[in-house]
Amino acid sequence: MTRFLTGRFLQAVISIFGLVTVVFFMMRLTGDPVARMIPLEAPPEVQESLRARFGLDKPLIEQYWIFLREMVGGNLGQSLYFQRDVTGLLGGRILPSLQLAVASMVFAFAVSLPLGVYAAVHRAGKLDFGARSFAILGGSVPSFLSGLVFIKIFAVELDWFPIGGRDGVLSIVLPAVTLGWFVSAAIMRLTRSSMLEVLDSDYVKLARIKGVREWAVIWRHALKNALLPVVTYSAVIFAAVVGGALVTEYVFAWPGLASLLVQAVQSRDFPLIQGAVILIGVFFILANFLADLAYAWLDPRIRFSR
Amino acid sequence: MTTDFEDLATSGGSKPKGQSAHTRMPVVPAVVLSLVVLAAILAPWIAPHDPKIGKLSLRLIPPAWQEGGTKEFLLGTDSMGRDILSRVLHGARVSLIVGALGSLLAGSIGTFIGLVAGYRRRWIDSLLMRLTDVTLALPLMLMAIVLVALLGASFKNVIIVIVVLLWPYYARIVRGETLVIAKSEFVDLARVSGASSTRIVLRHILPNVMPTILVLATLQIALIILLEASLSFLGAGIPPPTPAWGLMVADGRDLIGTAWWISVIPGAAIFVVVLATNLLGDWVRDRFDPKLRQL
Repeated sequence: MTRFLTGRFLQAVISIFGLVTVVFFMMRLTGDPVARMIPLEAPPEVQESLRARFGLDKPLIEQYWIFLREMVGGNLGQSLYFQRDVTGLLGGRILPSLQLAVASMVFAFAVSLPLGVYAAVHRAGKLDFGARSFAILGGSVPSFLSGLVFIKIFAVELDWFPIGGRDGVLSIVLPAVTLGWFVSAAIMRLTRSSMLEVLDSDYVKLARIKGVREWAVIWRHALKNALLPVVTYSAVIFAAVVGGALVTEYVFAWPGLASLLVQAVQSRDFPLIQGAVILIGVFFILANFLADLAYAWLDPRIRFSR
Repeated sequence: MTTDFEDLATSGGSKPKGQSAHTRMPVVPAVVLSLVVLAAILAPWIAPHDPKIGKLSLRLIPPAWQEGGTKEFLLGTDSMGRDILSRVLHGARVSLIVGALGSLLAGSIGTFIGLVAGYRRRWIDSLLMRLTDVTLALPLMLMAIVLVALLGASFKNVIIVIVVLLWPYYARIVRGETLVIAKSEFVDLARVSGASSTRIVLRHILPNVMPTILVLATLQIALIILLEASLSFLGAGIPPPTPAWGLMVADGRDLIGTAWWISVIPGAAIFVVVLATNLLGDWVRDRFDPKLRQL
């Protein structure tokens, strides 16, 4: 198990390094950063002074080295729009984003695991049909539509929840459900198909022959193994969370990292875009590493290996 | 809408193992999609008003069935007095062209690279695998919004970003299949009989990979349409005043409490098209390539 985990840990570190490198060069190679900050007709002296101020007159490799050194020291540069340091801006957004991500995952799993299991057990029945409709709807409804419709019904008409923002427990409900529904489609599909496979396996048949009660067969013997593929596909699930969060946080004006990134994109604030992408990417890679830990623990073939 | 779900219940996924995956074509999604295509083609002739120009005196008129609505504007007008029906009809063009062009280009490029890598192996293959590792490693939507931001929001750049981000999916799958097919006897026979590499790849391998490519392309059209709509909604996609559906939803975002139709009608259009394409994609997958069921 140590070997597996060391491997995965190194992989995560390399991924983070790769992400930082790709983002850095993408920012520099897709156009002149100075040209993006100021109008085209600005005099050349202004351009030069800006270039010197941001260190853009140095060779690319040297810029990259400086960038890495500063980043390790916690400095991601200055936001052009907010006129504040990027690290400070990002820092205040981490907690809200994590809260929303966790709340939506809890909702997604609470809905889609039982649904996926029931759908597999009662295959081709009414519940299977309903569960698969739920999944295919969740995968086809754009989050901005479901989010806005939820706002219209539950915040404007019924006035049960706030329209947006982050103020009190109630304010997280609508965004978490919007994001969670989008994510649950993938989880439901995976659970259902892997449950179908597991229910057909020999050890489940053996458990049944031994007279284990049906609910124990399903929830204790089968589900535990059916969860493995779900964990393997965690990257898909986390990608859905990140992608969905970009839209959901924006719709509900949730003060998280994703809505900050959207804001940065809209105001063409490149240092902030760079910092936000790197931070979101790092969280994504870390989440996948944690999923690997869970996988190692769930799979006895790895848990008991050296 | 209920009929869609009946089709869903009878589609391949729910059949017991061993039974043929040949399922009935989902009629309702097919009809819906054909109508949307037709509407997109005929938009300039059937749209009752100009999609880009409106009269401010005619702003925020509700749909015809609501109080205050008129037959003049069946689906109402937006905050600039533009006719929503006309904009939805023209918006179908944007969504469908992006979906079709995106999957066509990404599919062609990915297929070409996948064929070369799978057949030639050597350095091209390892380079391809590393390259796809990088592109597939991060969330699609995150990469897409950043790339569009860097290149600048425009129709052309949205297509470029979609192609850049989606070709690896094709390349990976095509490479894998090519590896297997290249080892089969009929390829050996073709080689013994003196066929050139180009001929072997084009005449013997490509036709065998084609079903997989078609399945992936159908499934990806829905993904691309949703991606473009989300980007446009976030202001990092098609720029105004083009009537893109995602952009229209964004226009009405702040008015959701008073003028819900501005956002909900184009949003519903995206939903219907994506749902229909997904259902058709599922059918194509079950029909032609059950191996891909996990996708």
